[in-house]
Amino acid sequence: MIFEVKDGAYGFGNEIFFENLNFTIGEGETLAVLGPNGIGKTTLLKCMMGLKPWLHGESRIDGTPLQKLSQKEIWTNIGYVAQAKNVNFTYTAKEMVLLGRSAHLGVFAQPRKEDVEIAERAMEMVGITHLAHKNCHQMSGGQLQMVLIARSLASNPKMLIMDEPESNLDFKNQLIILDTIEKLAHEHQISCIINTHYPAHALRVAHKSLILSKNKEWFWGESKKVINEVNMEKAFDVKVAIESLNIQGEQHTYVVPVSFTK
Amino acid sequence: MLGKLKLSSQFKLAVLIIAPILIGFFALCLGRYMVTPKEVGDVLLQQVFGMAKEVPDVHLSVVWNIRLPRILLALLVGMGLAVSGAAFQGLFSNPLATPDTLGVAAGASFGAALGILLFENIFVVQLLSVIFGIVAVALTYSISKIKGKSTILMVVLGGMVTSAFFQALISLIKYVADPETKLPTITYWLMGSMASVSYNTLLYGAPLIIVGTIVLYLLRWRLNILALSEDEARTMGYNLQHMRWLVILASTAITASAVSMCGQIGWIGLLIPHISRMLVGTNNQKVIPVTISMGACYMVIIDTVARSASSAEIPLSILTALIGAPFFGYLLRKTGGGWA
Repeated sequence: MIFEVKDGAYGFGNEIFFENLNFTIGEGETLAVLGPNGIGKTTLLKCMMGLKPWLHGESRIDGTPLQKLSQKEIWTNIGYVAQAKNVNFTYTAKEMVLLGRSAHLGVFAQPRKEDVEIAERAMEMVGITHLAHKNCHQMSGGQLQMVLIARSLASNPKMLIMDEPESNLDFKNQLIILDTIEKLAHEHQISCIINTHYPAHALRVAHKSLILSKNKEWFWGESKKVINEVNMEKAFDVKVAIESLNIQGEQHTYVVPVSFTK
Repeated sequence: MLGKLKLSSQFKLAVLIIAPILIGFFALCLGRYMVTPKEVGDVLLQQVFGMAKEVPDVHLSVVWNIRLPRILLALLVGMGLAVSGAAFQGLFSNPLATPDTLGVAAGASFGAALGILLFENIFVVQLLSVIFGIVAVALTYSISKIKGKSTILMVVLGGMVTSAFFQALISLIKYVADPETKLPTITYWLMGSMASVSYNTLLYGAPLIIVGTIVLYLLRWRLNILALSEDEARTMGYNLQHMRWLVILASTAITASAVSMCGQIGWIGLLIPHISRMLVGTNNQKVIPVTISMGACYMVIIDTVARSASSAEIPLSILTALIGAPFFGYLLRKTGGGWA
């Protein structure tokens, strides 16, 4: 699936935050969206998948504008992983993941046996089979995040959109999430859009990055090129140092904030 | 816990179906005038299957003409009010949402009282009841919705406002009603009674309850989605607005229909779904069938107590509240604030 944003513009009310956004995400590609707090990263994600309307422009799936697709067509192609929050009514992990089959089923239908199997496979894909009968509100943030990812995967999407999937998580859980994203891209050709506060994470998993900066300026391109000292300072008002380390034959890039400039 | 028992799902389903029938059958025997199960069986065999049985007239009249329609009504109203409570709780993802707390019952009562005052035609009474039930829930919904979200607190407060408003209108109707004829009818009916039911009432009132319950039963898995946040629910690939309205229409139709037949019977929509959840967890796929079955059983038991405990009938809403209110208090104590 090719996902495309064409001349996108978004904002609140009549105030435009960004306009003329144009970019494409190919099959199995990962895009990271970076930007300071309050710049509207979550809003951008919502506009991309039609949960909020663009002020101008449109999103396209394989060349077809989103408005021309049914809800079912959109949500069997795109899976959304919201920031992990608890719900009032608590479901077990399996019940929660099974809800992801919803887009494939008729209004009055009950999930069939094969739906349960697909949900089980989705849990296997992200390694949470052992949590199947655990109650969601007794889970740690990392576990809940994996459940939500599995729920999205249960609809067999071709692309996942995740809102800060690794924030609020400890080192290990961050790595688990990042590895999962990479695995999905490599092994299952599922492309992915993530919001993140960590440029190093973008460098680690994302082929492309979009940096939202002040004055309606934005930078898009290959992560390794677009995440540089100049762009980061423009966007975040922070001087950063970007260095690479070779650890056991693998290249790891880290981004150190040095000082803020304003 | 029921869900943990290793019973086949067919067996559980059979229990859920048979329990209300069995309780209904025994309720046919009980009352100020006792009839043995065998005699009840004879009456049913004669009337339903046309078998030639020697049945005394008094049995026929007590079992077939007086108790049976009443018990059928109790089964319907019990399952309907319970399942619409469960559905409203799913819809508002709020464990305190019920036809009572949302003001639906008050709105529907006002509509029905207005109908009794002006027309007395059961059709019109029902129609007005449904219309004002929907108006009430829409009112509660719009009051509680701030920036596209309804918090639990706002829903409950909105429901109180709506309820108070319609209660005042009901008082107004009582005030202007003819104290000789209409006022006693309205007052007694508001307290909830199944005494005046006939097969005719059932014929008009039952379809809406049955259809509404079937719709909610079929939607039982989808109801789970409504507990998710707005955005997440939308990404489940189904038109959320349609779904909400379907649930509101079905639940309100059930409530209004029940109210128009036997007045305002409170607490069922709160009590039964909560007990169901304690038994089988929060998955509505299980909660809804259990709620339907238990609601039907509970109502028949309450109504049987109401008509046989004393020589004068005890209004139903008094009994359900006497049992429901302490339980509600207990729930608040036990879960206090955990939902907010």
